[in-house]
Amino acid sequence: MKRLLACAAALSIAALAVPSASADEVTVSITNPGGSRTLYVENVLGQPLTSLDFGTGRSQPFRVRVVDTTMDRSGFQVLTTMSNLYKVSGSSHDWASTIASSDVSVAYPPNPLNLLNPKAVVAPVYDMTETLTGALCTTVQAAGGSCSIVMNGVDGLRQTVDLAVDLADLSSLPLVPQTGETGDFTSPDYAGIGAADPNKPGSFTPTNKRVISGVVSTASTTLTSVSAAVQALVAGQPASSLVDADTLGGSLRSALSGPVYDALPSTVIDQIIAGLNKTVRAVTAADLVGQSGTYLSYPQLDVNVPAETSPGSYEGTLVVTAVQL
Amino acid sequence: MSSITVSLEVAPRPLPLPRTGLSIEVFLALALLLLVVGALALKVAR
Repeated sequence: MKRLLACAAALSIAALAVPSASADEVTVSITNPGGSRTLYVENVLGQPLTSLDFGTGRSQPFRVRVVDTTMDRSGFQVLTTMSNLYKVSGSSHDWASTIASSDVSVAYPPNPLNLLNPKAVVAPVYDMTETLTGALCTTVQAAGGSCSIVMNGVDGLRQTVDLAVDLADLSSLPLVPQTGETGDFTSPDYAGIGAADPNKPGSFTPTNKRVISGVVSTASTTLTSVSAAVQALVAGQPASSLVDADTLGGSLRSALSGPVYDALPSTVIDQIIAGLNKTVRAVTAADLVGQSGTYLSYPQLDVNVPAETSPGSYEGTLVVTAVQL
Repeated sequence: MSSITVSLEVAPRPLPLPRTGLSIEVFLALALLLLVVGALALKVAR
């Protein structure tokens, strides 16, 4: 009997411990499109480059390609360094017979720069207005609201817009590609083949030659051209397709004042949203959140072989590195 | 980062051409002079 009473008491306590109301779980999620930036070093036909064979020639072109895919607003540089060229001796090298890196230089043929498919990723901001008429106006007024609705600074969904390319004037693009540096590799690198050079110094600073760079632009011409592209893209689209539904509902609730919005049936809310007139604001630097595009540079490597150079095959290593700015 | 092997060939330098001593122009001028002198010598002998 005592055990039965104890059990009953325990069940009573357990029943009291159960909350009277259940909790809803809401999954909060966010997408942060960081995008990507990829460097490719290729021959002029677009095939991956692992070796650059001059043969008996003294000049070799190659291609550097940087691909941005909804990339954040950051610039880049692609830098090259060059080792000395060492005479091949069997399966190794004659470290005493070299062509100095200072005899290797970077130059550019005419029109070395190109740009494909530039796009801007924009988070547009809208101003919206609507004048309610007829039954819709009567319903809103009956709820205590005004028939004139004004919503300013509504954050829109991200848009990706195509931009025109004018190779003669690239300054209006979000990321402005720039031709690299010319000149010789005055100080050698000791990477690759040069790493085994017995004369490699303890510390060294190789000469860097930039072969392409991309500079972030916030120039007014950039913002003007992106604004024009955004306006063309969103023209004719309803507000409901340009702004997140909850953002739009929240803005409308603020515009109508909370209690009026809460008193209106959802069908009336939908009718009001369907009739909103939108104006997209001029794009600011803060609204321009990323860019896509392919940036191409066609440098060429020239070698000057000194007259006293011993005949034979020579090898060295060109290192190409992308640096985020 | 990409590492690219750069290679090239340095061919043996061609040997300098042996000196002939006389250019063809000088040789022809001398030959002509010799011919003229020879002709004059023949004429004097007659």
